[in-house]
Amino acid sequence: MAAAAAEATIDGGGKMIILISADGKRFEVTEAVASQSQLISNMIEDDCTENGVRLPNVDGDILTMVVDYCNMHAGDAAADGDTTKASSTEELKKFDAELVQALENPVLFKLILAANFLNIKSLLDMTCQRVADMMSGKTPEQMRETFSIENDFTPEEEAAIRQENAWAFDD
Amino acid sequence: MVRRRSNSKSAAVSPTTLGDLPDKLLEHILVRVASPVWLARAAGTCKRWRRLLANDNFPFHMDRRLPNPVAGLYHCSRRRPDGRGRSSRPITFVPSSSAAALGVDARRHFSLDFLPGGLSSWELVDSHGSLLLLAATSSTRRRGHRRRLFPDLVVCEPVTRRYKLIPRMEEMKHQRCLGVFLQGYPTRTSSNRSSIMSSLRVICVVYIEYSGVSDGMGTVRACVFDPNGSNSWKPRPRSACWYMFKPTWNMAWRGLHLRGSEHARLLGHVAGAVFWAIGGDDALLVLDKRRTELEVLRLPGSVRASELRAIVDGGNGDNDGKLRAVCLDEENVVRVFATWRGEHSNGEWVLQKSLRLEESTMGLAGYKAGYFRGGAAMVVAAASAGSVVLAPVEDMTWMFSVDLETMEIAECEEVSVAVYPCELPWRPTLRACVTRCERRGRGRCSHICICDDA
Repeated sequence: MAAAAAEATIDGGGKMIILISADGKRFEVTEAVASQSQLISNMIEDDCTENGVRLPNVDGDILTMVVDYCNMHAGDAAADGDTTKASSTEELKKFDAELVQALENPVLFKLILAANFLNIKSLLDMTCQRVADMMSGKTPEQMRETFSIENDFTPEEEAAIRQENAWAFDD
Repeated sequence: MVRRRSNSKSAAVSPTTLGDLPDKLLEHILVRVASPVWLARAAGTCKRWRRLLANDNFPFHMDRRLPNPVAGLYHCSRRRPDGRGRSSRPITFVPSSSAAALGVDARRHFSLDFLPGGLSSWELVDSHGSLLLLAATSSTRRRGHRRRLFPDLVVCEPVTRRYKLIPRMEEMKHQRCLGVFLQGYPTRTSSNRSSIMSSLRVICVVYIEYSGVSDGMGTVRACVFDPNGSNSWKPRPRSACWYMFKPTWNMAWRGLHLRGSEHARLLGHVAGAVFWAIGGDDALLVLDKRRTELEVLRLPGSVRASELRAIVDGGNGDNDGKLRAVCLDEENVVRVFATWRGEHSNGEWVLQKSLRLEESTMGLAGYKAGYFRGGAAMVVAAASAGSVVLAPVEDMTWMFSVDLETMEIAECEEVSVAVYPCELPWRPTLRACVTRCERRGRGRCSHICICDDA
């Protein structure tokens, strides 16, 4: 249906492709941007992106974030020697930090699932690191609270667990 | 066990939680946790997390470089000793600032009071990761002259209060011991079940006297205790796990002959290697801990083995192989050489600094010209990466430190004869409540079952 748009090119940006989210939102990105996703990169290689790429596992609002991320990071994979990019490394870091910092838990987990599905390693690493950092300084009780985990240990089991690594449980 | 998200519709109903992530992704997250403390706590959060962390294949910190989780340092300290007596060497633990920040009560969890026979029967000789190696203090030690025989040993992990006795190698029990060391194994081979205690080896360097040769001539060999050699720490015939390490072809061909164990003098333990000066030969004896190889290095013409006092880390503690050698000659001049040790080669020795001790220490309280009479009159009381502490042979209570960077001299009240770092264990002990066993002790029901030991 949107084949014509997908074939369109912009100056120097290469071919455009269309990504379609689970709820039908459409995103037009260059191949260079989209191929940061290993999944889409493989599809481009196999030449099956003509009619747009349907991503039934990814919601529109999550895909917006992913596309933003890929747009920001399109440079570092493509042009290493580009001097104008060197100054923006700081900016990029700031962008990344702000992206994950502001997220609510459910959105963060959806982003992890999307990054995993689309196979974007840098985004997956970054989001997983964010969750890991959220565990810092927390007691098991606080971790359960933060991540809505149900305590499935009996009080006796919990006592044994604390006893075993007592050094880690000085509260 | 945990429902996995199969399509986006279920997520639309209830907000996505950590429970919706598949095991692989949860592992990806747990492996990034910044401290062993949070990881051990994560393992106490719920059964799913515990199961993942207790899995033999959980990669822990292997693929990343993390800040060293040093919990603190064990100091074998010595207050101004009376005379030359070295009888009591109390071990004290000084927690690192990072351990305090993590909320670990170091004084409580790093005490060594759980050792069999009490702490007084053991002497700290090496550390690696979260483990310590201690040797039995032998009663046969002669005064002022440490001619130690092959000792009984114990490996322990202070935080988990576990220890493993390592009886001495029976056939070597009459041989002199030049040193005992812990060697970390690549942890990939270790499993959670067998615990970190079996992921290491102990190396004992012994002096073996030739029989039928006069003058006490002999050679040195490395004996290795390998807990994986017999696959378990269960009681077996004594010394079953000790074996003599085969010398390299080069070493066997050139031979290594010493005139008594006293001829090898320990200089330092840095960059994965241990150095001894070999008197008379102007050579260094080097033990490469990783390869368990002994080799002999010629010293440069300007350095005599008898003048060598210490070899310390010359870098910023990042184990890049840079070394500093400290020499003290007949004129009481300290010389500091820079050199390095790589995988298969050794660097040139470059003289960095020198200092005449007699003149430089004049300003210190307690200075006596008499201390500097006759030959090399100073001994090294302690050596660390940045400085050495020296004291006159005549009066070991008058100690001063020399900064190896600036050659500045300062008075010294108390020194630690040796300092051993101890880390928090990345792999927490996970034996309780890992999985329910169906066989009740009649063999293991799964690879994470723990009840075959019961």
